[in-house]
Amino acid sequence: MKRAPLALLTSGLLITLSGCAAMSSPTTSTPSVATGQQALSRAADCCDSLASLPYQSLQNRQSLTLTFDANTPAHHFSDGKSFFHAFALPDSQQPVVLQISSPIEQEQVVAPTLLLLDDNFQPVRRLGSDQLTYQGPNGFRDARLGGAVSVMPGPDAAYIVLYTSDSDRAGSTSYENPEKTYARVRGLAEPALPDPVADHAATGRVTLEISPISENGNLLAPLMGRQSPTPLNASQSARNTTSTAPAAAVSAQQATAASSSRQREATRTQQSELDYRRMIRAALKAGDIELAMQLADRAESAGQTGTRAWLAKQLRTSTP
Amino acid sequence: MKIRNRHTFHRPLLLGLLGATCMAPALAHAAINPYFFGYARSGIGSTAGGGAQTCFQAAGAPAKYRLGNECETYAEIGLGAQVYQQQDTTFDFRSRVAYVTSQSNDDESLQDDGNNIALREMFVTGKNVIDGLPGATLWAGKRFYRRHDIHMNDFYYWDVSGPGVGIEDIDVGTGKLSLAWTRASGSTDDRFPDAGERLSGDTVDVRWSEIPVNPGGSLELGVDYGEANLSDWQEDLLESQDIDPDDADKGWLGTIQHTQANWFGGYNKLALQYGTDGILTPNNSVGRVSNLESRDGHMWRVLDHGHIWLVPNQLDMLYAVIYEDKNFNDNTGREWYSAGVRPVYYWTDIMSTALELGYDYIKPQSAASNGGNNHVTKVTLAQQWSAGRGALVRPTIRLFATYADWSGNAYNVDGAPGDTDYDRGSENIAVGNGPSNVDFDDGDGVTFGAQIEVWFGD
Repeated sequence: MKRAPLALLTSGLLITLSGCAAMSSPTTSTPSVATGQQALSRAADCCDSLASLPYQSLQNRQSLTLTFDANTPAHHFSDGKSFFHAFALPDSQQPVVLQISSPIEQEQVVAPTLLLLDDNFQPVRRLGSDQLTYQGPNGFRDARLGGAVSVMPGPDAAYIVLYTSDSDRAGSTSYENPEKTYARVRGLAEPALPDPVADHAATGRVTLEISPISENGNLLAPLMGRQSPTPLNASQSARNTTSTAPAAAVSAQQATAASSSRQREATRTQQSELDYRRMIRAALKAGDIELAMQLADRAESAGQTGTRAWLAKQLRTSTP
Repeated sequence: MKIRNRHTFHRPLLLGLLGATCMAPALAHAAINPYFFGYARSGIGSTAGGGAQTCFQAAGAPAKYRLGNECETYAEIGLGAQVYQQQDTTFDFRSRVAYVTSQSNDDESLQDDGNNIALREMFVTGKNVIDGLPGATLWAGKRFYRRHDIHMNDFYYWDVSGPGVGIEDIDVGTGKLSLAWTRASGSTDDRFPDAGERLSGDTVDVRWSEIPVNPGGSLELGVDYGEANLSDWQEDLLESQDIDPDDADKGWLGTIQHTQANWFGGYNKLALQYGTDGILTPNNSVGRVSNLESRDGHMWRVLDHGHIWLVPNQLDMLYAVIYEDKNFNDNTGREWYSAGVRPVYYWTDIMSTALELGYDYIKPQSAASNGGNNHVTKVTLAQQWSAGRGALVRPTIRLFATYADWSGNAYNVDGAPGDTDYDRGSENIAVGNGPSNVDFDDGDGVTFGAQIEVWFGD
């Protein structure tokens, strides 16, 4: 036992040191749902219209952790006041997949709406939080709400806004009791315990991932559990939308956004010559038949007749 | 809850436009989607005074408090898949292999003494496959069957796992009924040297669970009957050795367990068990016969364990209390008292400090045959980094220091033929839990080290 004091000292020192380090830093416990809601009601409306939201530009391939808290801009949307994050979609020659993932932490979760705007800042499509799916804990990930949409950026799909509507926040999500998950993993009897309910909060974290669609259809997809996305921009609106110049009175902060939408205007003619068949093949590879059909529709209306028939043939040839 | 639905994004296909040609790619996409799950613990430790980590378990106790007191690497790797789904009918496959090594080397053969690789699970469940029993699950194969344990000291108090067949979760109006037949064959029986001809111990398990009794509380009742199942020639063989085949192991175990939810932010489980004869073993008595090690006699066991939050999101605690009385006709039984608490303070979402205090007291039925009373108290302080807050959140990396104190000498000289004076036998500290590096006459010991613990899967 002679060396005992030394051993105790060393391990004690390690523990004390790390303990002290923690004590000096603030505890990062999540604020309650009520606190978040109070912060929201105190927050001032940043902007007088959707056109004047502070849009940040998105890359083709990006992963962002979005924090919703008192420091996040707030706006009165048509369906409620909310903290939000707004983005200009990238100029992309191919559809992109937007993946939303919102972890359930300490019995609360941000259940966002994804609003898609055209280049005139008019809402084109609204994907409410009821479209998100509960995903149980998987691997090392927490339980979460998740969803994916594919979007073909263009004049009819130029901006997105992530926020929580009044009805989003009125909801809640029941999630599996971690004791049950643990029991299944260890082969134990499932405990007779209720599943907790996460309130939909005004504040918290959401992960937004954007990637070109072709990357989502690789061979690993089934193994990784990557799901096929839901298309957000309906082909109907794609054909009918006529692009108009953004309102003259734009604030300085969206100069970038506005100019990028003018660039889109310029590349619009190129888009009609896009290699739709390559994109359709990518969509098929990703298992997204709906998107493939939309792309075929769009190719037809862009003058590439015969694309629908070609798609039908593609589907036939992949029949085993 | 759509937890088990692995095709949540399965979308309606626009069949109207493309007709049946849509089906082929859709089916291809819904191909078997395997899932991976597992558990592991591993690390490194030393005993103050020199030598590798000693683990402190009271001699004669079926378990030890585990924080900073585990000397082996143990892992389970599982693979499963939902292989069929139509309407509510599903078939799932699940498998699990377990590994144990003594944590002494880089290259550790699983064939060395103490190391092991074991096939623990290989089974198929079919849910909603019997028309008359909606919601019930038919299963067969070898599996961990509805095991009940105390996490803090790794003590399994109800576990009839093994190869088997059964129907689970039959809706009986109030609660659910589960029936199973499982097997555990004796592997130490030298009367039947041929591996294929051992005594097969069969257990029939009947459980009535999820019986609501009070707000947030439910009851589970279970009976296990176990019997060694002898063939004619085995009976003849025993008779030729003047052993009455009717003395072969048989016995039963009854369990009543109450689970309370909404219990200080966590839960509490209270279990009462009574068992007889062949279903009891000197060490762990979990509800299945395991043949020649069993004894005639009876056992009472009452235990209470759970998880509570003392300060929400800041301080939680695991706790356990056990009393077990084994009374064997040959006086080899004993009483076991055990209590432990593990409060954990969460400094941040990642870092926490855990303290585990555990106490085990063993009182042999007869001092003449089993030595005197003995007890072990251990306390562990651990600094932990985990993927979140809560007693069940893993992975965890921890640094620990453990102090243990016990009655009398740690070990005695084994005295077995061929042993030297250095060979150790259990006196107050059990041998066989990894290295035994405190001295024979030490009355306390200190260990320190690092350990990881992880589980994952859905």
